[in-house]
Amino acid sequence: MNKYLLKRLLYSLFSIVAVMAIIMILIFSLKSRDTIFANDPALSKMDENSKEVYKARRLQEYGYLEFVEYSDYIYELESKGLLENPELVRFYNAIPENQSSIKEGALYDYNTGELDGEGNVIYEKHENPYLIEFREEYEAKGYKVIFLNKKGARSSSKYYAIRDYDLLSRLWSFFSNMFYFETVNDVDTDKDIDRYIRWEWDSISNAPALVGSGTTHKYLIYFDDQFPFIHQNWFHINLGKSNTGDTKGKTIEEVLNETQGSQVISTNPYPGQIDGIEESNKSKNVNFVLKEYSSSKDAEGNEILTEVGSQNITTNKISIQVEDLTRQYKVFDSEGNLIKYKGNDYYSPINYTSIKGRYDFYFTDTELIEVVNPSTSDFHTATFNYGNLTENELNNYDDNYTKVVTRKDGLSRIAYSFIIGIFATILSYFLGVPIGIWMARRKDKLVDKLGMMYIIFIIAVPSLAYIYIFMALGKNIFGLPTDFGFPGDIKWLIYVLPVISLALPSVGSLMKWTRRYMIDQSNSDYVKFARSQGLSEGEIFVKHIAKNAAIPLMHGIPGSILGCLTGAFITEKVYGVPGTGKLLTEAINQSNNGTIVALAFFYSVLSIISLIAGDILLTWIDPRISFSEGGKK
Amino acid sequence: MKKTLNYVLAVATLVSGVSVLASCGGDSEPLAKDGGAYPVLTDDVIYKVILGDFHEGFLEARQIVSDNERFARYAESEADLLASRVMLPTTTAGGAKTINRIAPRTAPYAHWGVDAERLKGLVIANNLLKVSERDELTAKWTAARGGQGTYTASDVKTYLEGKGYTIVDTYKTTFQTAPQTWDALVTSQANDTEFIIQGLDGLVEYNNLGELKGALAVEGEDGKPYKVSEDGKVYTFKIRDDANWYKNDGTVYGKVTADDFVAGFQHMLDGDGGLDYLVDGVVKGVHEYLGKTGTFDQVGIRVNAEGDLEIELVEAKSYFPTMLTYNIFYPMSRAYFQSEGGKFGSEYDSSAANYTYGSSYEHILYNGAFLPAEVTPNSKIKFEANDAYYNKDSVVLKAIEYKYDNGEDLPGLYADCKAGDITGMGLSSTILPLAEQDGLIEDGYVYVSDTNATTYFAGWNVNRRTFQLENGGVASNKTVEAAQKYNTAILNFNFRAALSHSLDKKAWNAVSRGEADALNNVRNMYTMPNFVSVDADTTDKHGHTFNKGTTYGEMVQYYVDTKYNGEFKVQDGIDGWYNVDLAHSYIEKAVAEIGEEFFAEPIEIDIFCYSASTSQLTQAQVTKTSIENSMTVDGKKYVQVNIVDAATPDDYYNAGYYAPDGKSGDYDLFYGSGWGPDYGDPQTYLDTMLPDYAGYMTKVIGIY
Repeated sequence: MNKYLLKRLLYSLFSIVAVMAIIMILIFSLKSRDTIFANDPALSKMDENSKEVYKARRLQEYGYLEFVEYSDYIYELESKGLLENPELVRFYNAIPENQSSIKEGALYDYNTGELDGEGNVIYEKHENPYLIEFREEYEAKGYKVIFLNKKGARSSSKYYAIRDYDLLSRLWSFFSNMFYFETVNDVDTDKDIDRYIRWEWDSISNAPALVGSGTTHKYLIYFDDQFPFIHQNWFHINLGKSNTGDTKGKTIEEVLNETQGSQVISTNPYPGQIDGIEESNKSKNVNFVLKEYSSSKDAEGNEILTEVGSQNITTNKISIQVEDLTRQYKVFDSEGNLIKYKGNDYYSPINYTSIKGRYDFYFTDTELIEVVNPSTSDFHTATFNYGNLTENELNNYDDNYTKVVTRKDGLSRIAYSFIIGIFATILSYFLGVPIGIWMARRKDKLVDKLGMMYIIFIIAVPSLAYIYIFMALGKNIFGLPTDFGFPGDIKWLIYVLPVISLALPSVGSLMKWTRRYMIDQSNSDYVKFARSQGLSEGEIFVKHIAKNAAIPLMHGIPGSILGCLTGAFITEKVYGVPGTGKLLTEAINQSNNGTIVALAFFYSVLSIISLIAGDILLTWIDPRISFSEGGKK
Repeated sequence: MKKTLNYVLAVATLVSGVSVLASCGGDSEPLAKDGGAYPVLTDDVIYKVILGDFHEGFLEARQIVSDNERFARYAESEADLLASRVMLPTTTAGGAKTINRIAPRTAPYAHWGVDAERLKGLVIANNLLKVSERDELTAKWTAARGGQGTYTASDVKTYLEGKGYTIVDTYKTTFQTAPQTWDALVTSQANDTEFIIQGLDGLVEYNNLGELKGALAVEGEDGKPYKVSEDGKVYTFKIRDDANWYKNDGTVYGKVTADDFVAGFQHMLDGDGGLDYLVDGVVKGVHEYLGKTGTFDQVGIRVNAEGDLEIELVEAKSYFPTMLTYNIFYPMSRAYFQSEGGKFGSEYDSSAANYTYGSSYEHILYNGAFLPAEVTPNSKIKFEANDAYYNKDSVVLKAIEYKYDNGEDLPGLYADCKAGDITGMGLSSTILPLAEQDGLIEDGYVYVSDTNATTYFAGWNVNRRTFQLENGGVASNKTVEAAQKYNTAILNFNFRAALSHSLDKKAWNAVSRGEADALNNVRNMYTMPNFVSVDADTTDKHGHTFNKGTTYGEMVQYYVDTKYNGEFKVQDGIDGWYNVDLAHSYIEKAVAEIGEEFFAEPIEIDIFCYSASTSQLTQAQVTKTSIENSMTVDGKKYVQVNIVDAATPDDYYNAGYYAPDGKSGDYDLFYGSGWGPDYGDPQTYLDTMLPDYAGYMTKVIGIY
C-alpha cells in the first residue's frame, strides 16, 4: 500500500509541475500583453517614449519581464561603490538625445552647476564609459537593450534593457520559496533590535505566546477568544503576490485568509499601556476629582472652557462614555492641585482618536496614569515598523512592532466560501442520497417521476436562471436577505439562500447517481439470491444494496468537501458573497498573472488530494479494495 | 493676406502633384504597407499650411498675462483651429437620462482634478427630485455664481424641506471594483480616486460654485489659499495647524505638516503612477529629477523658513493653482510611509516584500471628511464621517454606502433605486421602459445629466503613410492611385470642409445613445463651451468688447461668425456642423480648384471598426451612409467610404488609439480619440494641437 501511495504522490507532484508549466506558458506567452493597458488612462496623456518605459515597468509588475533602466544600472554601481568618479553620478545618468551619439571615447558636456563671471553655466567635457558598458553588460546577459531617441520638445530619450523570464526560472522561483518559517533575521533594518524567538506571557489575552523579535510578525503562535482560538503567523505558504485589481500588492495567502467586514471597536489597552494598568491595579488610596470641560471659542478666537461635570474618583479605574470629542478632562487632587497626564494639563479625546465611545481612565495613588481610548486594533497582528515611531506610538507600544490590522466582524474569503460550500454539501448528501434511495425503491412510481422531473429541470435550466428564481422566491415569499453586504439583524439568515442555491444542482446529481447505483445493484445476482433466501425487501435494500451502492458515492465526498474552498462563482456573484469564487475569473479578466498562477496551483493541489483521499476512503469502507498490487501478478 | 498666399501655394503644389500622378497612369497595383513610394509632403509643411494661422495666433495668445484677454485670444485661436476643418468635434460624456435624489450642484463644481467626486457636501432628499425642482435649484445656483444670493447646503435644504422633502444623511450607491490602491499619489484611475478622496484632502478644493477654496492650506486675507511671488513663479501655502492624520479606525497618527506635501510630491515622482506629466516642465527641477540628472533638493517644492510650503515653477503660469486639485499634489505622512517600508528616490521599490503602503485601506492614513468603516470587495464599502475632521462645517453627509453591483440585474437595481436603497441611477435603454411604465417620465422625474469636459473628436488623416498594421491586420483595400488621391485631396481646404459638414452626428451618435438621447451629449467645439468665462468686460485685439460673464464658447462662436461667416455652431446639444448644402457648395469649390477629372472616380476614405462589436459596425455603416449621401451632388458621388475590418481588439487599438505617432495611424478618418482638461485654462486643450511632437493630439490627424 505504501509503495502504491508513494507512486501516486510522485505522479501527483509531476502533474502539478506540468500543470503549472502549461499555465505559465498560457498566460505569459500566448495571452496578449496589450490587454492590460486597454483601460489605462495614464497612457492617453504620455509622450511616446515615456509610454514605452511605463509599459515595460507595468509588464515587469505583472511578471512578464525583467526591466532595467540605465539609471538603475548607474544607481547599482553607485551603491556598490563601483563608479569611477562618484561625484559625477548625475552626469553619468544623463542620456544623449539620440543613439548615434553614444560612442566609445566620446566626450559629453557636463554641467558643473557653477557659473562663470558672466553668469553662464560652466560645462566641462567628460567621457561616460557606462553608456556603452550598460549595453554590453546587459546584452551579454541576454537582455534586449533599447534606446529611444528624443522626439520633439516634450519627450526625452530613454535607455533601458528588457528580458522575458524563461519558463524554467519562472517555475523555479515559484516552487523554490514556497514554504517559509519566519526567522529572526527577517527584518532588514539599521535599527538596533534584539533578535530572538521565545515563549512569553502574552498580556493581551493572558496566555502564553510564541513571540519573535526580528521576525516580521511579533506573535508567531498565540491564543485568543476567536475561533479556532489558537493562531499562528509563523509558517507561511508563499504563492506570490497579486499584481492588480482590488487585491493588488497583497500576497495570495493574505488574499485568501484576511478577515473582512466592518471594524469592531473595543476599548482594549495598547501593549505599551499594560504596565501602567498593572501599576494602577495595585492602587489603594485613590482620591481625585475629575472635571469635564466643554471647549468653545470667543469672537477673538480664544478658547473658553466651561465646566460641565465633575466627579470624585476613589477607585483605580473609571469608564467614561464620550459623545463629544472636543471635551477636556482634568484631574485635581483633594487640595485642588492640577495633576498632569503624561506632561499635559488635560486629556482631550480628539487628540488621540475620532472614535466616540467608552474611554477607560486608570489612576494610581498619585496620578492619572493611562487613558485607554477605543480602537479597532488587533494587537496580535503586529508587524515591524520600519520607520521612526511617532509620539503616540511611543506611548502606546513597547517596541517597534506597531503595525497592526483592524479587528473585523466578518470572515476571510476562504471561510465564507467554505461555510456556504460545506453546508450545501451536507444538505445535498442529506437530501440527495435518501431521495435517490426512495426513488430507486419506488421505481417508475410517482416519487420516481417527480424526482426525475426535478433532475431534468436542474440539468436543463441554466444555473443563473434557477438561482435568480430561488432568490426571488426566497426574497419575496420568505423575506430572506439576499445581499451579504446588508445581512439584516439575524446574521445567519443570509446564508440560507446561497446554501440552497448551491445545493440544488448537487442534490439533483446525487439523486440521479444514487438511484442509478441502487437500481444497478438490485439487478445483480446476489440480490436475486438474497430474495430467494426470503430476506425482506427492506432488509435487502438497507443491508446489501445501499451498502454497495454507497461505495462509488463515497469516493466523491473528499472532493466535495475540499471543493468548497474554491468557492462558487455564480452563487457568490449573485448574493455578493465576499468569497473565493470570483477570484480566478476576475484574475483572468484583469491579467492578474500572480493570482492566476497561485490559484491554479491551489486548485490542482486540492483536486489531487481529493482523488487520493477518495481512494483511501474507499479502501477503508470496502475491504475488497486494496492498494496492494498483488492482484496483478 | 498671408493666409491666401499659403492656400494658393498649397493648392499649386497639389495641382502639380495631381498632374504628376495622373501621368503615372491608372494601374491598380495593391498597396504596400507604407502606401508605396510617391511624393510625401513633410509634416512641417502640412502643419504650416493647415494650422499655421492657428499656431501663430495661439503662441501669441499664450504670452498674454491677463486671464480675460488671453481667454479672448484663445477663443479666436480655437475658432481658427475648428475652421481649418481638420478635426470634427463629436461628443462628450454624460448627458444621459437619470433619476436621482441628490440636489443639483451640491458637489464641488470642477471639470478637472478630482474634486468633482468629493461627496461630503451632497444634499440628498428622501424622494426622487422633479426636473422642475432641479431647474429651480440650478437657476439659484447660476444666480449665486453671478453674485445674486447664495447657494449653500443649508439654502438647498431649506428649499427642499419647503417642498415637503426630508433630508437624508447617507449617500447610497453601487460599485463594481474596489480600489486597486489606496495610495493617492501613484494612481491615475478614477476608480481609485473616487474612493480615496472621500478621506483625503489636498491643499485646495473647489466648492459647489466652482470657486477655489483652501482645504489644508489656509486662506489669506484676500480669500486666496496661496500667495504668489512678484514674478509669478513661487507659490506659498500656509498649512493649517489643526489637521490630523488618522488611521482607518480614527486613531490619531500625527499632525499634517508642510513637509508631508514635500514627501508626497517626491513619492509621486518616484511612483510613476502616470500623472507626473502634469508637473513635468511645470514645477522646477521635475524634468531633471525624473531624468535622474537632478536631485530632489533641486525640485521646486520645499518648506521655507517660516514653515510654509513653497512651490517654485519653471515659468509663471496663472492657471497653476487649478492644477493643485489633482491627487498628485496631495500630502503623505513621511513617517507613516517609512513605517510601511516606503523609501525615496533610487531606493524606492514598490515590489519589496515589506512595502505595504496603500495596499489596503488599513495601510494608509486619512485626513479628510470620511473614514472607511468597511471595505469588502464584491460586497460592500462604507465610509463614515470623521467626527474630528477639521472642516466639519463642510460635511453634510454622515455616511456613504457602496453596494456591490454584479452588473447583471438592472431591474433589481432599478427597484432598489425606487425604494431609496440606491440614491440615483442612470436609465439605460433596458430600464427606460420600466421607468416609463411607472410614470417617472410623465411625472417629470427623469432629467438629463450634466455633460462633462472631455471632448471626443474625429480627425482627418492629412498625411497617411500606414495602410496595414505590422501583423497585416486592418489592411486597406485601396489601390496606390486611390491612396494618393485621398492624400492629395484631403490637403485641399474646400474638400476637407465639405467632408466636415457631411457627417450627421445625431444619426451617428444614436447608434450608441438611442434616438431620443442622441443630441444630449453632442459637442461642437474642442474646449467645453462654458469651460471658462471672462470676469470683466474684455476688449479683444480687433476692438470688440465681450461683456462680463461671456463664456468661452460664446466668444468662439463670435469669431466663427465674424471670421468664418458663422458656418458652424459651437454650443453643446445640437449638431452644429452637419449641413449638406454647405458641404455641396464646398465640393463645388474643391472641384473648381482641383479639376473635374480628379474626381472622375469617388475619393476613397478608409474608416475602421472592430466588426465583432455590433455597435461599432453599425456606427461605421452610419458614417459611411451619411458621408456618401452628403457628398453626392446631382447624382455624382464624390466620396466612397470603405469600412476596414479590425479582426481583434488589439488590431483595433493599434490602428488608431495606440498608434504611437501620426505616421502610424492606419485610417483616413478616426473618431475614437478624446481629450479631457488637466487644468482650468483653455490652453490645456489647444496645447494638444501644437506642432513637432509637442501636442498630444496632432497624431490623430496623421502628423507628428
